[in-house]
Amino acid sequence: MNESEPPGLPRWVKISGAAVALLLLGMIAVMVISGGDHGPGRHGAEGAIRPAMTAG
Amino acid sequence: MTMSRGWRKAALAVHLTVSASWIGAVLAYLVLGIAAVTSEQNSTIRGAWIAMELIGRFAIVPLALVSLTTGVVMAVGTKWGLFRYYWVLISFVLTTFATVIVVLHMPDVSGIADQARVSSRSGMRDLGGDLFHAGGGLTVLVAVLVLNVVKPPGLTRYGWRRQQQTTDR
Repeated sequence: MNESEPPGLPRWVKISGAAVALLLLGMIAVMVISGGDHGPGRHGAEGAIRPAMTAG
Repeated sequence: MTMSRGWRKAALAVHLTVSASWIGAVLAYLVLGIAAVTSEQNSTIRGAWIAMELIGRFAIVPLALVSLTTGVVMAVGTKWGLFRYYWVLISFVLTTFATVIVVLHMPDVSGIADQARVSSRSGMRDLGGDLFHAGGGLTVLVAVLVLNVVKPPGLTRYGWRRQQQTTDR
């Protein structure tokens, strides 16, 4: 390895990064196909809580 | 700015305790979530959600904030640094992400717990168990734990430049 040049991405970063990217794509696909309402915009929003029947 | 050996040991003890407790608290939250989803009894679902809110508010959120803080202190105060090694940088990003999600998600948990307190039998079944957040959070925290134990090699560009500067002196 030439020490006058900065190192590139380590192999373990590339492999785990690719695995995480695939996982995220799969999750997004499942959410889109199933019509799920989950996403970053859901957090902290007033409308985030699902309606439920209340007693009395 | 490197900590003395005594301070380093003390900070490490606090960081390990808090981080392991965070994982334990999320595990307890997950177990309660599973109980809320699988139970047929209203009292169990109601109790599970009330306990989930308490664990979230008084254990998970404080532990996440302290774990993130002590992690940064450990990185900055030791030879590892916060941006020099990929394993430290990725641990920091994942922990920050998990902490932000935990803090932003708590109002939702409180809202569902409030509903569980007053919901009728049919409404109770719609509350779910928040398994996505609990399972995802546990996965992220275990990934960070593995990174911190294994410490896989790999300098960032910044870490490499710092190393070159030290070598040149």
